Amino acid sequence: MKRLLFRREQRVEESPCGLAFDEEKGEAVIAEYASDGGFEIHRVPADERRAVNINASDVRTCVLGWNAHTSLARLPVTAESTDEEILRSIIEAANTDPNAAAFNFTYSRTPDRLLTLTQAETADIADTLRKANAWLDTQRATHLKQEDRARIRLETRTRCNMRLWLSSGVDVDTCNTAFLTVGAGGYAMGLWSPHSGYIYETEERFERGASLEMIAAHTRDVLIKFIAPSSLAQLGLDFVGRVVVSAVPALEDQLFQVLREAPELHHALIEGIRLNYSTDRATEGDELDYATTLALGALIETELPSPVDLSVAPQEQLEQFSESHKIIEVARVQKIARKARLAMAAPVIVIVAFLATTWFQNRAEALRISSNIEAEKQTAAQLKQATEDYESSKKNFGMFRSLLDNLISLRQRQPATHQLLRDLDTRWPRDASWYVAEVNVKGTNVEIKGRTRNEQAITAFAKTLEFSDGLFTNILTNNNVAGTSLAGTSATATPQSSNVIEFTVRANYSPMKTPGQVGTTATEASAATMPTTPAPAPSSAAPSQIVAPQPPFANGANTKPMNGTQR
Amino acid sequence: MSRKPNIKKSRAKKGGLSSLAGLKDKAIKAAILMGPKKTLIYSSLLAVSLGALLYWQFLSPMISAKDQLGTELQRLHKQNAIARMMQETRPQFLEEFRRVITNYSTARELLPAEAEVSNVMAAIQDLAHRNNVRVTVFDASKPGVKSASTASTQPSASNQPSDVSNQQPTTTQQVALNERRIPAQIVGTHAGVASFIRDIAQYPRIIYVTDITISALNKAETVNMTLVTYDAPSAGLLPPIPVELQQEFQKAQNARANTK
Repeated sequence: MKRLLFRREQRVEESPCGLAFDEEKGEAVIAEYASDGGFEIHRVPADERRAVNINASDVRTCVLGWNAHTSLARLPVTAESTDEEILRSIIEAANTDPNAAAFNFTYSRTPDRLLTLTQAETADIADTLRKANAWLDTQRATHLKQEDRARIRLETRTRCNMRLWLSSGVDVDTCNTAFLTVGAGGYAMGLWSPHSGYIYETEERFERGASLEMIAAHTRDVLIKFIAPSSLAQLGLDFVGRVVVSAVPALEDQLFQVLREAPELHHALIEGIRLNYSTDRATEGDELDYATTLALGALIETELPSPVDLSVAPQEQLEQFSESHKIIEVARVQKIARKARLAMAAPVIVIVAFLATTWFQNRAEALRISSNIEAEKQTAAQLKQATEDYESSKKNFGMFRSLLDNLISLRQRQPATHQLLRDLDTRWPRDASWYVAEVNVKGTNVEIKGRTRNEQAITAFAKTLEFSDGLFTNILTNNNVAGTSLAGTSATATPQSSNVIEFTVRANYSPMKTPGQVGTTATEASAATMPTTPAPAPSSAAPSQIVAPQPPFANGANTKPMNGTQR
Repeated sequence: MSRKPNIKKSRAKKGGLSSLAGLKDKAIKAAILMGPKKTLIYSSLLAVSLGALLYWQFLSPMISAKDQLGTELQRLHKQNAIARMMQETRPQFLEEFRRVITNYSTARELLPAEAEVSNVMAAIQDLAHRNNVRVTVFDASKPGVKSASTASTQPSASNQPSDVSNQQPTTTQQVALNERRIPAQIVGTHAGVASFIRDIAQYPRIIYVTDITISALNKAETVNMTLVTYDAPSAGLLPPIPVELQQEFQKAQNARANTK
């Protein structure tokens, strides 16, 4: 699992290295970028196995032969043409030229939109690659896989020197610059223009057996011709103000002397290549040697002159471009398809996400509510039981209360009869002929029968009952002269021959109400207290039932009042 | 024989999958041709339509059901809140119950127990003797009946005017007092009769006079009346008291019994 997670799909980008061979010393010079931003230069014996630990997959070096050439391209394409068009044009041109089979071609664009064509012999390229690979194999650890061989990029010497010089911070003035690279086997010359950049390059092999003096003189002569105004005019240049020289140590001093002594070159500044021109301390003593210059120039990469790789044939470059374009096209189509899929899927995903979120929210809410309902139902069942108990207790409470009210009303009813007698005693009229024969009490109905000679006494008695603050209600009187019959009338009878008037007074005495009918408000009342008399609503019929006062009877001789009831 | 349907099924499945894949390819091609903006617009419209359909088909009923559940929950919550509120009045109710029980216990002393009725009757005889009235009729032979006045809270059938405000609320179950009605007749002077009736009114136990008829003859008065007294209901007939009060009143009853 760990291996799957942390497996590297791509190789880690490694730092490139520049490689050059110092034939005089039999050393290999390796240039690498240092961690502090500078460079690291290593010199190791070229034939020593495992002299340096070099694992770079990108090795850059120069073509060893002296046949490289760069000039303005004479092709039916321009710098604005696509890479494929230029490469096809080169391939077509090479196919028409029978000598072109021995060369490999590449191209580059100048800042002023010109197209330059660089060529090198395929045999030199193959030799260079063979030598570099052989050296790398001797340095490679034996446990490494053979297929992990480094990719070797090939440049020309003049390009390498020009790139190093341009990137060393030199004050580039407006004049054109010529580059002279002199090795043990030949020389290379190039022209650089501030306006057009790198526009021309040529190399030539020295004849075998030539002495150093001859080589230096020949080189001087060729350089003089190279930067002569007539030659420069063919390239569209007018003047060369600086000559940058890089030569093998055996030739270096002599070459500089010869060049500086040449009157045709007096107008030009002749100098070597230093790593940092902007440092004041940098002097001629700090100039880089021939092999180091090539190694550093191969290592660094600048926009101008643009990097080229002579190890790759135009056909291969075209295939690479085609492959790249195919990949790019596929990627573009995939990108469009991805966008289309995204455009198709995004709203669906949004809607689905919304629906899913809503669904889950509602479901969660419904589950929560359901659980709450269950809990509430359980609580409701418990509360129902408690409520039923409560209701039952309330009924029991009502029964107790009713019982208590009944007891209280019974107690209140207890003195009612005695109270009736007392109330009647206080209301008997003060009439000597007043005689009560019978008192009848049924429930609250009180019936008093008696005799009197004074009819007004009956009326007065009825009145006292009437104004008893509600104790007596529904007062009805019936009187008639003794010996006569008066049926069904309650009107005042006219005195007849007899003076005795028999009367019957009927009334309701409220304290005599049946026990248990007293209001519950009397629960706190003491049993010894008098019964509360309910305030009766004044009956509209009652006054009419009261017998009108009659004239008093003077004779009360035959009356026999009830003991204690006559006043 | 059984392989043929399987083969058909797998073919149909493959056909369905391939048609789906073809549909997908066609859709992607159409999307590439239309461009992302148009694809986004059409896809949005389609997705919204589909979403609305799904929402209407599935989510709306779900939301309605959830709302119904919410309403049910609210109803239950309200119902329980009312029940809780009702239960919150229980302490006051128990306090009232305690007061009524206490009052009843006090008032109950006014009623003679069944065994004491004979003592009451003897006391009446004694009262008559002390007031110089003669008891000519004393019919205590009638058995006790449930009191009509206490067995029900319905108004009596008397001819008195009905007073609605005095009626007690109707209850379906009542504890009745056992009523003893004793027709009696006494003869004596007016003062004796009045004194006798006063003593009856002041008797410590509940006993009252009803249906009284006083007839005067010479100096004597004849009084026909009905004496009414009641038995206290036994403890078994009384309604149960709440559990919270049972222990308390049990202790009180025990203490009262010990005092007696």
